[in-house]
Amino acid sequence: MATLARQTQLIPVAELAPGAVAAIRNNIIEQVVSIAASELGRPVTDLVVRDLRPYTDLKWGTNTDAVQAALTTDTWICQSDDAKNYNAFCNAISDSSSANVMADSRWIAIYGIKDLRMCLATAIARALTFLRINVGGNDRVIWDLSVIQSYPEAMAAICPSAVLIPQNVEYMIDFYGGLSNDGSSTDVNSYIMVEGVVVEPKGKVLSP
Amino acid sequence: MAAANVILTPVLEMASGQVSAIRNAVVEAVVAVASRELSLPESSLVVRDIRPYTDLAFGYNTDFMATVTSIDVWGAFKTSDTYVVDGTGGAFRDATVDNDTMDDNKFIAIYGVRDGRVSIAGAEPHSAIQDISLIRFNIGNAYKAVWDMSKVQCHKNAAAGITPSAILIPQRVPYQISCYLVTGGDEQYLQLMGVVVEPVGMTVSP
Repeated sequence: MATLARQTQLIPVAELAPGAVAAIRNNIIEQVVSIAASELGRPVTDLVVRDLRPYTDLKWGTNTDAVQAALTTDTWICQSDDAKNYNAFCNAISDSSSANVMADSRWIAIYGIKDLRMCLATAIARALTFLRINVGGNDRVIWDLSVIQSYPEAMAAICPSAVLIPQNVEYMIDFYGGLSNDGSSTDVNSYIMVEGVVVEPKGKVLSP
Repeated sequence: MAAANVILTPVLEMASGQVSAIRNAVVEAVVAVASRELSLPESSLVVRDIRPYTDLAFGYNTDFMATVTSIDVWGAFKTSDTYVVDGTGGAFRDATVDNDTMDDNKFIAIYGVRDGRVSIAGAEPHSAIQDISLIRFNIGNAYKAVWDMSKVQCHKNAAAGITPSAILIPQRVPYQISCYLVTGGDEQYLQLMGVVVEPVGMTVSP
């Protein structure tokens, strides 16, 4: 990827060269660890890289602008409110009481998505078609979730450049459902999750 | 090979890493074109996903759809619990707005297709029909490619195809994408594989 243009497109993992997913992930982790160490004035050995907790870290699905019932548990699965997000971007992160401000001493890098619904006993319809991430008042990416629809056995996609949510910075993730407004309350569950990591000081959550 | 190779090849029939190589080459080429035409350094440009309606006006033509699609979705969608289906079969049907031209400062490269039928709701085997057999691109009043979408259908776990020669739609150039509908009246599951290149800040600011 020799171009200097900022690549924000979502690429299905099935369309990446062998090793490219690992290379992108490792490169992103190195970058965010470096930024966190620099801002905290700590050596990188004092930091831990861990999985995202959807509710506790990101407040995923906590805004009834986008979902029927605000999540209060650590799960990515939420009931998309198609009456609202049909043909419109709707906030999926609660913005009350500054809930959508990243915690102190915590950096989150998001670099892809996964769709979990094909692992159900009977696959359900997808609920979302686009995802938009705004950090610090700027739209950083608009990802087309349709890119993985032709790969039912590898429903994951990755972006060459991560979206970084630094400590104490406001962020928002918007759902866009272009698929259905059935006019009822029987909305489709979204099984979309974002792929990313949390970087923070050891001892804040984990002490490996 | 000096001939212009515009065939569509299923991704599973490509050599390992070849899909990435084509995509990266396409991105580099369209970024270089945009940088030169806009007199902007490459670092001032962003590469992002295509929004089917907002960027291409794909589906906003009743020649192709029974009802125009003014939402950003590739493929089948419902409104008032009824699927919106495609138009009359047996011919190429124009899928984008008639006489449309690409937006100022926006360049779109299309280098393949994906078939989303294989991940619709329900238990396998999925029975939805792919009603599009051919896709034709007219850019600047010249036909640039006619792709046979049928060939991706034999790979149900990777129903996508890619071409070595991307279709470039430069800024302000007229374009039309037409799909050959076999019977008409079916739901659509087509996605065009491609990228938008434009100045940073026009839509996103990574």
